[in-house]
This record gives sequence, C-alpha cells and structure tokens, in this order.
Amino acid sequence: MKGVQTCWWAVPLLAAAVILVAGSIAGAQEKVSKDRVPAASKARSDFMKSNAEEVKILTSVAKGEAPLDAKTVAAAEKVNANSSELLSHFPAGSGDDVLPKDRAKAVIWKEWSKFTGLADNFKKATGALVVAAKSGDVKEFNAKKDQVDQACGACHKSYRGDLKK
Amino acid sequence: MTTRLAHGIASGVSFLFAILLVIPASAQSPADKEQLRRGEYIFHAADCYSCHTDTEHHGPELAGGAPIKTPVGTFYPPNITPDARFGIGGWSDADFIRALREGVSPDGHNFYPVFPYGSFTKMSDRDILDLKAYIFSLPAVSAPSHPHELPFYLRWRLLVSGWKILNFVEGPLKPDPTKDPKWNRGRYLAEALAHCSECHSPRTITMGIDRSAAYSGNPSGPDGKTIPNITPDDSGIGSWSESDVAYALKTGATPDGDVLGSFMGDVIEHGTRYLTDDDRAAIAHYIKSVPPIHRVLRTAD
Repeated sequence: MKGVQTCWWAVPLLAAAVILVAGSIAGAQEKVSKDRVPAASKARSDFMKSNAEEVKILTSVAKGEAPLDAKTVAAAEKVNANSSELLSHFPAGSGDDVLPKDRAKAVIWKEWSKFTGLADNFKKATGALVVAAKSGDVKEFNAKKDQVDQACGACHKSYRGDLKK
Repeated sequence: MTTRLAHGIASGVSFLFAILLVIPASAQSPADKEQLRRGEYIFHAADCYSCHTDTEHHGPELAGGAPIKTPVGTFYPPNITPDARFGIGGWSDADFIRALREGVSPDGHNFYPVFPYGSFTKMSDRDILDLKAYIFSLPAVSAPSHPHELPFYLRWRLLVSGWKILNFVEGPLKPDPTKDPKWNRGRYLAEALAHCSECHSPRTITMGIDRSAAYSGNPSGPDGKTIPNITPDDSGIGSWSESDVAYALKTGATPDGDVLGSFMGDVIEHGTRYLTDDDRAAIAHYIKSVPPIHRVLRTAD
C-alpha cells in the first residue's frame, strides 16, 4: 500500500509507543541498583524529616499558636515543592524487602498506581494549602491543613512500616 | 366508561400507597432524630467501625472485621449490623445493655474480652441505648461472622468467667467530685467510649489490663505491633501539650511534624476526627493527667 510505504517509520514508532504505554501501565519504574539502596533509603528518610520541619510550622498555625504570616506561606510552599519531589525518592527496589530496616513497605511497588494516586492527592492538597496561606484566611488555612494531614496519613497508614525492633 | 373508572381506581390506589410509604419515613419524631444524632456521636467516639468492619478490604460497614492477632489467639470481630440472622437484629435493648455492661451475649455466654466490655461497662445506660438505636438504623448485611481461631485450651467460654473474676469491674463510671467537669468528661470519653487503655496499656499474665501501668504502652499489641506509651513521661507524651494531643486526635498530625498511622490512623479517621474540639480537648486534659510512667518502647508508627 502506498500509505505504509511512505510512513514506514510509523510502524516502529507505534511499536515503541505501545511498549512505553504498556510499561507505564505495568508500573515499571527506574530500578535502583542494590549497592545504591542504602543511600536512597537515607535520602528518603532525610527528605521526610526535612518535610516534617516545615509541617511543624504549619501545625502551630493551625492550632492557633502561631500567626498566619509570610513564614507560614514559605513553609506551605516548601511542602508543596516537596510533594513534587516525593515520588523520585521511591525508586523500585529500595523498600523493606531489600533493606529490612527501611520503613517503605514493599507493597508500595506492587500497588504503584494507587501509591502515585495518593502522592498526587498530597500534591493537590499542599497546593490548596499554599493558596489558603496566601489568602490570610485562618479558617480556610485550617481546613486545608486538615486535608494535607489526611493526605499524609493516607500513605503512612498503609505504606509506612513500623520502626524495626 | 369502565376503562376510565378502572384507571381512576388504579390512580387512586397508587396515590394511597404512595402516601402510606411516605408517612412512616416522616413519622420519625424529633426525639428519635435526636437519639440517632447522639447515637452516631457515641458510635464515632467508641469507634465500633474500625474493629467491626474490614477496612483493609473495604468490607461492608459493621459486617465483620479483619482478624485481630493477639498473644492468645486470633479473633474475628463479628457482624453487628441489624441483620436478624447473622447480626444483632434480634437483640432487645436489654440484650444490648447486657452485652456492653456485663460482657454476656443474649444466649448467656461470655464474650471474649478482646471485645472491650471492660471499658464499655463504664458507659451510661442512655449512651448504650442511643448507640443501639444508631446501629439499628444502619443497613443490615447478611454475612456470617468468622469463628475465632483459638488454641484448644481457650475454647471454653467458661474460662472467661475466671478472667472476669480476676480482671473485670462491672458498672458505669461515676464522676469524681474532686475533679473539674472537663476532666470528668475526658475520663468518660477515654475510658468508657474510646477505650484508649485497652490498646495503650500493658497486659498482665491473665490478659487483664495492668492498671498499675495504665497507658504506658504495650509491646505485644494487636497484630504484634508495639503500642506507644501515652503517659505524660518523657518516654511517653511528656513533651506534648494538651493542644498537641487534641490536634493529633483531630488530624493525626504530631507536634514533631509527623503523622500517626497504622491502627491510630483508623481510630482518628473513623473515630476521634468526628468529636467536637471541646471533647478532644477534654480527652487531652484527662490523658495528660494520668500518672507518668517511664517505659521506653520502640514504637509502631
């Protein structure tokens, strides 16, 4: 057929597209090599701890123990920025099946699309929190902070393991 | 003319049926609605949902919970929907009071105290009946309960009578006149409804709550998890203010920027999140007043 002869490159391109889509549906992510797992685990743990420092500021405001001000906005923006960085800290093969002391449960990568959905919720919730913080409306901020906490909890409930004894 | 008459009769009868269907729905008195509102609140405070529903597999509400592994066996919280065959639909008010007050079923056998009637016995009669009214307003689910998995020597419920003699103090909580109303309200919420002590206290060799160490955590909690010390000691929540505790019960956020997960996540999501700010503050006020006990545990999250 004349069409196929002209667009011969369409066939391998289509094949590549199908493979990529199939790969993303199957949850294929970049896998970290075993020797790099301890560093990935530490980086993830440091990331979460630094995030906690910002959340502390937000919680004080939500409890009415600190004013809603520029410092609050900065903290909210930092947490929102973190939410975009979050998934990069979960390379496949870095969970507690590979490194038993790590708290990231292996089930994360079995339920990757669910996990990324929750990460997306976190991103949306922190985005809304930034808007609320900038508005200066304390009631609105408290409501949005509540939703951020719920988004954090949704992952931590199912996907973070206990501190290992 | 016959057709028109038939049509007329048919519409008239349909109209009557429609009215009859509508009337019972609106026959709920303001008093009934008020009782259901109170009952729903108690339902959340006591968090029947988290144990009696298989939350992990999105099971139907109150139709039976995921198994609870304990040092003495695996228990399956039963179906407590108002289903007449597989739930508690056949229970009278007196049956329900007896279950929570005494830990005895309508056919006279003891409940295993994994069902925390050691705490629910402290509820008032009115709260127990309000709770029943609310549960009976929920959908009946026809699903059989799963039998418990216990070693042979624990299968005689008669043994629970022995447990009760050693560990069970029956009866509603009476307010302490030397303490303020906020403390008394907090104690009622914590001890009679939310039953915090049942998870957060260590157990004696007969699996009773070790009251001398109440709230100081349990290294052998449900499903083998380590349950944290929540006494106001440094090894517990000594660094938390009352407002920290109240806020954590609302959203799960801790004062160090973390968030509570695991079982406590369920307790907050299905339970304490629904309480009023005042009630959470009361619980915090009470919990921060219990004797501080130094006990370091590697905590579950």
